[in-house]
Amino acid sequence: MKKCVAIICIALSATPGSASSTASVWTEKDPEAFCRHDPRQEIVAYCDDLAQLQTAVNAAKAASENLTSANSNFADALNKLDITSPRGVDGIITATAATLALKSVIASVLKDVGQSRPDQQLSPGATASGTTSLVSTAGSAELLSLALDTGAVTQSVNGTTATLSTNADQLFRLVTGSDPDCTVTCNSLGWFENRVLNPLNISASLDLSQQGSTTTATSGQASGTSPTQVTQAAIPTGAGKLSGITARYEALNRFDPRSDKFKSAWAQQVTSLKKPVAAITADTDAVMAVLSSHVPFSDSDADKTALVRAAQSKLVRAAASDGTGKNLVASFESFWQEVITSDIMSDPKFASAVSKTAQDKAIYRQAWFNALDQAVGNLFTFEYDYNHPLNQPETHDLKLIFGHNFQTMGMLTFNGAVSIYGSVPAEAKYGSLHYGQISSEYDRTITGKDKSVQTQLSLAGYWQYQPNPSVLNIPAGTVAPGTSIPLPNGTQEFVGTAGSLWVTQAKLTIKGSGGINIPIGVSWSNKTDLLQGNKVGAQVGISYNFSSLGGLFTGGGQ
Amino acid sequence: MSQATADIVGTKAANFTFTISAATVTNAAFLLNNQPGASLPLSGNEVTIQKLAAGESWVQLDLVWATGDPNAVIDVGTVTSGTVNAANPKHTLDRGKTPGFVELFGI
Repeated sequence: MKKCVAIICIALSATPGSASSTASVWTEKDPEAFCRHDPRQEIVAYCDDLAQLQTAVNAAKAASENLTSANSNFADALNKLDITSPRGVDGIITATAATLALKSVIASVLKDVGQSRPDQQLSPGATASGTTSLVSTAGSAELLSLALDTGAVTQSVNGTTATLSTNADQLFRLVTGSDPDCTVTCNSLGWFENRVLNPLNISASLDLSQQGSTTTATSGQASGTSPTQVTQAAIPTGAGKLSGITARYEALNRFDPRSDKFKSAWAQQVTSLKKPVAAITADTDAVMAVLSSHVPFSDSDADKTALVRAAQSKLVRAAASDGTGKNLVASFESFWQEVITSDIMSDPKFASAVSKTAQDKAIYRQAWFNALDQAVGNLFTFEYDYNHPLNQPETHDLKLIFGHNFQTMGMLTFNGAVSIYGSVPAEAKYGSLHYGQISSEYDRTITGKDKSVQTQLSLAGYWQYQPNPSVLNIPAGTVAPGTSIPLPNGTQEFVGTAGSLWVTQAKLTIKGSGGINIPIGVSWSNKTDLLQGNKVGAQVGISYNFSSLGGLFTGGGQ
Repeated sequence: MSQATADIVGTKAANFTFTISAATVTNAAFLLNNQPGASLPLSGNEVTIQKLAAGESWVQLDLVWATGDPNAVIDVGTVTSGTVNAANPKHTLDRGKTPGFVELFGI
């Protein structure tokens, strides 16, 4: 998952023809520029090693050294570019994974990995008229999620909301044409991607039970005998209205990877990665076993040596003849075509072995980042919500979310938030502060940890304090009760009571391996935002956690 | 492939250890016919080789890389018998890649 912590890079990115290998050349400052964005997956997969060779050859040329493959300064890079040796197999897997169209397979396995996460927030916050979340959890959907929720927890008005959430990095990649599936940290966008786009998630909620409306001037009384002229009326403009926008930023504690503190914390996490790493090794061995049944891998050692030595001579000559790296890329491509034959690419056993490796690498990547989270410290998420509830002033909520995962013992999440009114009229009898709230939730997977359908239990408590009663906007065209006198547009009234609002919720979430979650909750509150008196409510929702934007638009594997 | 490409070259039957300068080795094993053999003794990032075989042999390393790790330099650790040398200049394992492979050559 990119600074780049490119632990594993499943090179799925470049779209043929989307990048030009001629646009950039080798430079001392950016030695990988000539190959990093090449449209050919094999060039990208071996780009580090091609750059290492080009750098060594350029240095040797400048020093008037031996410019043949016998130069020991070239040996390390030439070894890594030997795709017939065990050293080269990682690059073969990376390069062929894309060609073998494994995106949907990887997306599927990522979805399964995400299934067990208790921290993903897919529903809108507690102040929505349709939500199953009393407390916001710290995590988000990796790529994209769509949630449909009905039932309110703190609001008087019950409604239904549709919420679309996505990761800013994935959205950026989609818009810019980069591969949306690449969720591994990549060098290409550097700091901006790692610190800004990756941790930022955005969502929008539509209240499906609200009608959008527009205020328009009336043109005269059409019936009745009312002596008072009605000058304005609200007309419906559509069903479904944007009720909220949320931006979430996930922040890890600051850390220095060189510090003893981090190294010590990381060492404790390495044990948890031993198993997924061993799985990749076993998968890699399986790929090598398949390759060994094909020419030239099955050739005699003497024949293979002759093939590789000839190729290495050509690689060095190409690098020496052109310091930009262009000739080196062409020479390596020729070697690749000679070794990775159509016979290999059409072998179903090879495709199967590469597919298994790619899936296990995706699982390892998730485990690696989980381990990093654990080593670095607890995750904080900062959340900003813009809310526009029905007939109430718009509000801006700032929320701090803290989550601690006790692994098998479940996860505890705390929220602290403050809500302020977007605008306060000059004559208002209330201030900018809408309310402050603290809340907590405990989540634990209770059944089916190793099965395709899991159930998660969530118990939550919520306390909100409001210095003033809630404010209700009186819509244009409303008449005073018992009269035909229209109230002036912009009138507001206090409704409900000031003070504490308590809510508790018990929720069961059924989580399917395909990315579908069905949360069902029951809540009790001492009042709601507009009405006094206890309220027992039920909430139900359904959400789909997409693991691949690419698949979404191509129809693959979703 | 040969002595020229090996990461470490030693006399046949030499006993020694080799080290890598970055990542964490969680398992090390000889690679025999593309399949891992028994695990080799491991102490931190130091792998023990007993009785180096003649010719080419491969050690497969399960590696966990930490953020900020550079490429890992392959070097000879303690030589208890025979003569063993790392390539000059020393070879490396690319950061982020697992498994890593170390080529030994006994003469």
